[in-house]
Amino acid sequence: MPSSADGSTVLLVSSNGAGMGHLTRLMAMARRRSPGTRVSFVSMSQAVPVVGDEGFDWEYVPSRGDLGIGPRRWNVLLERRMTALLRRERPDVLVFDGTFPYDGVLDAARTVGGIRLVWSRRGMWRPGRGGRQLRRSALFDLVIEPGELAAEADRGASAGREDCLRVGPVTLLDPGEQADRADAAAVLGVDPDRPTALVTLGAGNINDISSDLGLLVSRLLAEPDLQVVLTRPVIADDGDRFGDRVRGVSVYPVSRYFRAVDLAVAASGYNAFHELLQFGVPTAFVANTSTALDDQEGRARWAERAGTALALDRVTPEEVDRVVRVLADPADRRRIADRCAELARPNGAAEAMAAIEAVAAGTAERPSTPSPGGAV
Amino acid sequence: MSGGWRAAVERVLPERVRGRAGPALGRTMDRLAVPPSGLKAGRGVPRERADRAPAVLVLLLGAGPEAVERTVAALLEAGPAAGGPRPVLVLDGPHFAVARRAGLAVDHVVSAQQWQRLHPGLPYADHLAERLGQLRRDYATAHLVALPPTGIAGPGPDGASAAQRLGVLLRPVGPGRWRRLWQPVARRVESAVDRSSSGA
Repeated sequence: MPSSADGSTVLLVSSNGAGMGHLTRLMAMARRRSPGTRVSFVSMSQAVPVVGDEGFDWEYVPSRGDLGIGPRRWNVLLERRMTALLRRERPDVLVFDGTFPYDGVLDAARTVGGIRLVWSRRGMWRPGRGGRQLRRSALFDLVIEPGELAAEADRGASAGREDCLRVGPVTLLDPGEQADRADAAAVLGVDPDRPTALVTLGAGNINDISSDLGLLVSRLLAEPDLQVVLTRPVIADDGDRFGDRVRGVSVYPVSRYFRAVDLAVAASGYNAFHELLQFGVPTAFVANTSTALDDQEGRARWAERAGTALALDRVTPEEVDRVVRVLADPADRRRIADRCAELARPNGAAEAMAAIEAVAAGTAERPSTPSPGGAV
Repeated sequence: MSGGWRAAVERVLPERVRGRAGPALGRTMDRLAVPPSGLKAGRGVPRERADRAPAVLVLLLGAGPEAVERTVAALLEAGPAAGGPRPVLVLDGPHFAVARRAGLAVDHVVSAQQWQRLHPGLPYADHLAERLGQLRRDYATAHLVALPPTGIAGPGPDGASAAQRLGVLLRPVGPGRWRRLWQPVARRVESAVDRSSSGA
């Protein structure tokens, strides 16, 4: 990453989560950089090559889980790797998106010196978990909290902290970037004149995904004329066992094609949740309960209370039937979509990127109000 | 470290002081050339079995998805489960998901194209040599096998000769006597220190 002639250089670093949330948030910000700002990625996600499609340079760093080694040894390897990388690329600012800023990253930045640090710290942490790493907030020049539509239901350790800049919900695309229904249907391989359900249960493990998926798809197919699109990671091992009314797709970002989607069943991770709600797709959310820190249940339940979606607490035949009955009804879908439009907020990615550029330029002011609990 | 001793240490020492033990331990292990304990060696390979095997860096640059897939399959077949060493696959392309799914350790170097775009005028060979030196240190291995872009068992004489070269390295060669005695002790120390930490 050679120095940019008339702008700053930004290194975006993401951890390896259950899905692509960390990477996608950073990419949403990177796409809204100013002319002259140079951006590249370092990620522990195996999905990192997708940033290359947008013209960004990237490097992959194996996560601790992917090497299988202990945290101390891994942090040593990470520190060495990041130190060499930072010395080579000399970014003005390093932005970390993840729930635990790693020693290896922080120590490397300290060793190299002269690099400003930003933490993109998503909210909705599971209550009672993860308070320890909040002390690391003070090590950053700026903490950005990507907006959360379900913020009023946030009971986690980061809720209500004033040590951060809160921006709107961060999504990769703005509505104007979506394909129209006909084009989107062509990409998804469905008929635009028939209703389509998208099932995207994420890359994480949702209990017994195979049986959950079978139950969901079977019930959806009981609706006459309904077409079903499954995102590929979910069906990687299942092939085409559901017949010709079901399509498997492997597209990124799938949100570009939401105009061909009439209803959805999705995991309630940050990305899918905000994309589906911001774009007004009537959805039943299935929380991934195996995430370490992301309170997906809280997010899904808030959405049902707010009338913007349904929450599928347990994937049982009765519960699945309940949500599919609602989502199959065009009047109910319209009511949900209207409520989504009422609560939608502007995309926060541009504001986040502007704040990062201000930090790089040394013109940012750090929020300094004391935080609840005095954890900083 | 026993549970009682560990608890006492955690009470007495602040986190940031305890945290310093990690890098120091890692560096000591490096100097003693002990590969990281628990390094993945293929799905279903027991950790103890993998830990007894030496690590080998397998460099596969410019490979397409089929070559990566073929190579991963061959490495699994010849790895610790068959008495061979544990491979660390090093790629410069985007196809590492297949290795991760198979439970192999996989690392990454930037491609020559990316390097030249970002650092015009600086030789890629120098960068690659530096990165490989770092990877050899990181994984405490003296063994490095460079494969052609077609990978193992690819078509043509290059593939066959690469498979032969790899075959030589994948023969089960254990550590020397001193290292055989030292390695289990070193790994137990490392595991004990790791267990005392819940940090990421």
